[in-house]
Amino acid sequence: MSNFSNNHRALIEIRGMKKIYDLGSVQVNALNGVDVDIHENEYVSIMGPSGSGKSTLMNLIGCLDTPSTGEYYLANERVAGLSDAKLAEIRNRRIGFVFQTFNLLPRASALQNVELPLVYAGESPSQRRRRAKEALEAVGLTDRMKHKPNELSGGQRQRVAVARALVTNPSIILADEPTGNLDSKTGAEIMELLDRIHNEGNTIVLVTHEEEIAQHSQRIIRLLDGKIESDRRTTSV
Amino acid sequence: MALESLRAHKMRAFLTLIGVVIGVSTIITMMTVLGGIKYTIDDAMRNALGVNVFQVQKDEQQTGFTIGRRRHEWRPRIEARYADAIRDRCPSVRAVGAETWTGGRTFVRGGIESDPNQQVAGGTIEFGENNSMYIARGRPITYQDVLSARRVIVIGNDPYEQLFKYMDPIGQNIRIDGQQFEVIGVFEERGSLLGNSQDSYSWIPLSTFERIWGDWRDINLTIQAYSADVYESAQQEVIEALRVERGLMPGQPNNFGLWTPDLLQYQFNQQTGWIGVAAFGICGVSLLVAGIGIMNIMLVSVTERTREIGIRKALGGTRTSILRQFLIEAIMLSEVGGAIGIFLGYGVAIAINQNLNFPAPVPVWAVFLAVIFCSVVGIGFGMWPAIKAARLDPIEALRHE
Ligand SMILES: Nc1ncnc2c1ncn2[C@@H]1O[C@H](COP(=O)(O)OP(=O)(O)O)[C@@H](O)[C@H]1O
Ligand SMILES: [Mg+2]
Repeated sequence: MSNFSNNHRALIEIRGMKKIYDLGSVQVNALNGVDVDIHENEYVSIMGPSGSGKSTLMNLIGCLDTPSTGEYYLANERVAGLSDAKLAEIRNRRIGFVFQTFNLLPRASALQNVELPLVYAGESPSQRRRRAKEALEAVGLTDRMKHKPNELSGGQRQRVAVARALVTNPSIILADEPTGNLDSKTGAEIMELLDRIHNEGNTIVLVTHEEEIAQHSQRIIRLLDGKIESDRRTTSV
Repeated sequence: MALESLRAHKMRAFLTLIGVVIGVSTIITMMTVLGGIKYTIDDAMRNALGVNVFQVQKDEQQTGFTIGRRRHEWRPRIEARYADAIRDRCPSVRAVGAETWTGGRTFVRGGIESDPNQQVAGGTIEFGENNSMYIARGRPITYQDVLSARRVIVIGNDPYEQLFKYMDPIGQNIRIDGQQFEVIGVFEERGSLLGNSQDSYSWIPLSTFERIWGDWRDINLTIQAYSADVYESAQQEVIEALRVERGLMPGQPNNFGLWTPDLLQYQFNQQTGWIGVAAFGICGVSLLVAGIGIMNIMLVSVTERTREIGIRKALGGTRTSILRQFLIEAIMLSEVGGAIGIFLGYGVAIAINQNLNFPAPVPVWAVFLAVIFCSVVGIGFGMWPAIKAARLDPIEALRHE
């Protein structure tokens, strides 16, 4: 099995990753050489001051963005050079995004929002409905399915977003400051939800400013000016 | 999902759809009216001149539109006696009818008057068959009537209804310009053609006509050949006979015209051809207006929904699926305008039908044409906004406010 040792064993393996924005007069090194491995069912927080490259890293992990240089292997697959359709499929099947600003479709109901990834997964309408309902039940929104986002509280909206991130059974949940727009109580509820999702076997990468939130995870990666400043296991949990 | 933006901005959508509505209703109306006119005229043409028939008139048959009055050299009139000459000298000719017309007459019976638009034809015995006018009751003008210039008349259905409602007219007397006629027959009812009543035509012997209203009017000769095979040679024989009668030297041009149904048909097709071209012109312009409207509303929609596009991409939407989504929206938008246009055009066509009284059902293919027109507009002008949407960078799109 000599081949096996060459295989990339981490679920997410990033090597020498740079992201440079060329603004003409200046170049912004949003990421400036990042190496990181994240294993299956890990629970990782990314911290760092504003502008340190946290979101950029998340977008690259989520295949929404492509690096300027560096390699990215996702579940042993080299991401660079994949087609638009293949990247879309990875986002659809393997990755669930949770955003700070929820990013729900304003004119669609909670149920329709959660169904959307299943539309792109090619599920039948009846399957879509069933699975979206299950996902909404799992986040405790059984009685809010027909509501539009503007008829829901911030915490409820983020629950819809979490349900949407979960509905295609992806293994990786990427949450970029999921509690940033919530008060501490509802924030704690969302964190409980993420803990549960982690316990069910999913991998979670979380961007946050708050130490308290970061303590939910097993590992904290600190970024500064596009570089990893520290990468440590948390003490608690 | 596709029609949401349309629903959200009804007024704006409506304004941009006006182009589609005009284009489609024009197609439907024009096609319906053209179909109706063609049907009516074809029908009239089939009836107007019998088989293997052509006419001689003083002037040339015209083709196409003539702007203003056509200049004419002076020509001697066509006389009734030519009919005899043609009968004698043209072996391919089966029958020759001669007729002349006067209009704007009022028929009077006792104290009752008809409407003042009665047309009176002085004709030979062939008149009825040549003009496809058939006797409903009584009898036609006979050879004896013409020979003795009898004061007898076959009246149209209009004067019959106006003067004789619920009464047997046969044997009754009527007056025209103070002259008394005995009614010997009534024509079948013919309805109206393009809004004109076809039942105001009555028939008296040609000889009687010329005695009362003078013999200075031009005569139309209606000539029937024995068969289609000798139709051309009959025309040649008639030309020769008329040249002799009118004293033309060899080399002098004919000073009379032959009128054939083919030419009438050709003339009609040429004129309606122009209507068709005009209709397509209007459609072309509305296509452009419609397309620009659609393109505009779709570009606005793409800008307004940039964030939505970002969300869709993050959740697994491919470029192709985003492109398809916006293209379908553009087409649906266009088809909504098309549906309104079809109903509008249909309404106009029905209104025209009822007012002009000719049968013109909306042709199914015109509806298909309209739907295709809308799809072309939707795809053609929705493509660029859709490509724009598909090409959006997901991160930029998600950051969009
Ligand atoms: N599209 C862009 N164009 C130019 N600079 C950008 C762009 N996106 C991010 N940046 C820059 O890259 C750096 C990292 O951004 P980001 O990853 O959003 O930071 P964080 O999420 O840690 O606050 C910042 O300096 C930011 O200004
Ligand atoms: Mg950020």
